[in-house]
Amino acid sequence: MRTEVTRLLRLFADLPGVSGDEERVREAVWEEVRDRVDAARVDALGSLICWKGCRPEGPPPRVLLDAHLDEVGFVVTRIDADGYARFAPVGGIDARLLPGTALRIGREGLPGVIGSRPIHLDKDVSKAPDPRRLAIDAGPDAERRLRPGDFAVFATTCEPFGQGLWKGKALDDRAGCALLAALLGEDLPLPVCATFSVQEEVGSRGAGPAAFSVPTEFALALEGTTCADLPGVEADAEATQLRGGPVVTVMDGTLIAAPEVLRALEATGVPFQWKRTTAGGTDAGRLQLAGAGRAAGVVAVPCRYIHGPAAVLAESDLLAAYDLVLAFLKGLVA
Amino acid sequence: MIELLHRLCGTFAPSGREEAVRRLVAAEVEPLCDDVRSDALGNLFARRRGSGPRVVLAAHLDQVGVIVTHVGADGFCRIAPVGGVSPSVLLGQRLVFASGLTAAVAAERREDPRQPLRFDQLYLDPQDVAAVRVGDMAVFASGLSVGAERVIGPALDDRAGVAVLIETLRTLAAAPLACDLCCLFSVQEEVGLRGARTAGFQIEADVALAVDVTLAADTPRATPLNVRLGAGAAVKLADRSVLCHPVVGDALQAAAGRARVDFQLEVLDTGGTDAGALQLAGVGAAAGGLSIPLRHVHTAAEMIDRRDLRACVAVLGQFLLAPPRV
Repeated sequence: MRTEVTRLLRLFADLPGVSGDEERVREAVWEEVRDRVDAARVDALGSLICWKGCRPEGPPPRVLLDAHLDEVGFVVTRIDADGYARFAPVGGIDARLLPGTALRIGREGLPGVIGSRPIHLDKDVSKAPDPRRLAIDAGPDAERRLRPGDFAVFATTCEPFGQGLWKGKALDDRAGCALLAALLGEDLPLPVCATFSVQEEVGSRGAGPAAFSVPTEFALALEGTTCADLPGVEADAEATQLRGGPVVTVMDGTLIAAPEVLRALEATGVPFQWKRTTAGGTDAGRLQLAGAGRAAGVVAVPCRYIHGPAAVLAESDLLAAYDLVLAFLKGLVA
Repeated sequence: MIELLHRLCGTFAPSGREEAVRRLVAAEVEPLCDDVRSDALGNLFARRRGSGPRVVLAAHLDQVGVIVTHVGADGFCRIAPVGGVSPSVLLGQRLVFASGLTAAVAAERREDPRQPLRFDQLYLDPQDVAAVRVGDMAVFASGLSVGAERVIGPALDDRAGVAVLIETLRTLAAAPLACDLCCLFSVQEEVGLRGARTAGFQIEADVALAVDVTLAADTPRATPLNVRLGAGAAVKLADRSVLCHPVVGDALQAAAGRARVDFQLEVLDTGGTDAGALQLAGVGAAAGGLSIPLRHVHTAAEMIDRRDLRACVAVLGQFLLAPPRV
């Protein structure tokens, strides 16, 4: 239901779930949706596929809604003799934001900090550091507590601030997960397949296999998207605006949105903004091409500082995205 | 075929917005096929049922263009490419929207003109900015110039291939084919062979041929490639998306021999075609290509030779009468 979207955002955003390590997020999502769906399964890659108002052995529903469980983060590659942990980014991380960032590492969420050189020692502060030259400082006995293969996430707590803003890590795409889990609590106007996909941040790997066996007519990816309405940024480079409403993509690096989907979204009458750059990609690219193909699109929530330690979204945009998707579903049966 | 090419090239159809040219093609092929249908992405499938291997011939409906990403309060629009079109080729061009509205492409004054022109330095100056919305697409203004041998204009990639396929169907209308034929008029090739992926999954072909343009290398200081304008139908051996099945290449050369037309061997070191996607769809297919040599690809002044077009039709005709067994 609409009233639980922010509760779910906070719940999901604080959980660790780097691409390839989404289990805890998936389990939290399952706890919320298990009583709202008629059937579900977890596929070979770990994506959660749910059927509401329909069953896998019956005729497929007309619509598939997708959100991805995973977030960008880090994986420990080696523990050095001096106790520093070397790491690699998982997904597209802005390396300029890394030095001095706090992390939570491994199953237990052990604290660590990505080391940084004091400014008086760094000759060139303008270039983005090479992540291979950085290391995580996790304390003197790190090698007893950390192992190669441990995943790490930004140590940011999701909380409201300002007037109607939320900050947190992984808003891309726990915002989408919150929307989708909440929508499943509605008495939806038509049967729906909901996929909570894995590994979007490393190439939308989960979405295609998840959608392959559910040949729907339409698919919408629910996402967090970039928002650069910042001081010094020209209007034509900002992509979206915070509080400008939910974002609809016409074209990105993986998808030209189907005209039928765009028309249906416009017909709802719910105000939205177009995404005004063509960079990036979402699960919708894979959903469009899975199996025999389908009409696909993206509805997203603008997130400033996306893929960084603390992203910011507006509650009004989040709830308006909920309204837009629900109205889209209603429009399909009208 | 030239009259058809005029109509095809004059139709607005950038990637993802191919409706108008799909309707035109459907009307042309309806009387020549057993059934014509389209799929969720807008691919058009024209089938002539028969016994023998299932063969798909694919030409793509879409052309490159630009998409409006921002409509400025100052009346100028920002654009991004749809498909592989470069900023320098757009500068100074007249573009046209689906409605027929036209716009000029211009660039900001650059601090360092020695640096290559970037998309974010371009802007669109439309006749009427009130009629333009974010998400609208525009293409090179059309207008085919037809000479005795050479044809110049935008969108010959791949309306020339579409024309070749339609003409092949026409030529073979009364002939018994030795295969189960599907002519695929695919969508969104220019943005990553997307239509061909879902189409290939549905068709389950044994043999897949892309009928697309290839780069003619007979221009000043061109990358050394084998293909020349006017030297015949190009039998594709490889491009960046596909290593063609040798049996398919051999069968095309044999077909050219039977048709008694010129052919040339093509290895393209850049770019891909639907053959790449059709080869890997589902359980896969033996893939190849028959290509139309073209100069100045993805510009407003693409150029082909009419003799090469006719040669391609003749080769495909013979190929379908004796397709390879794989």
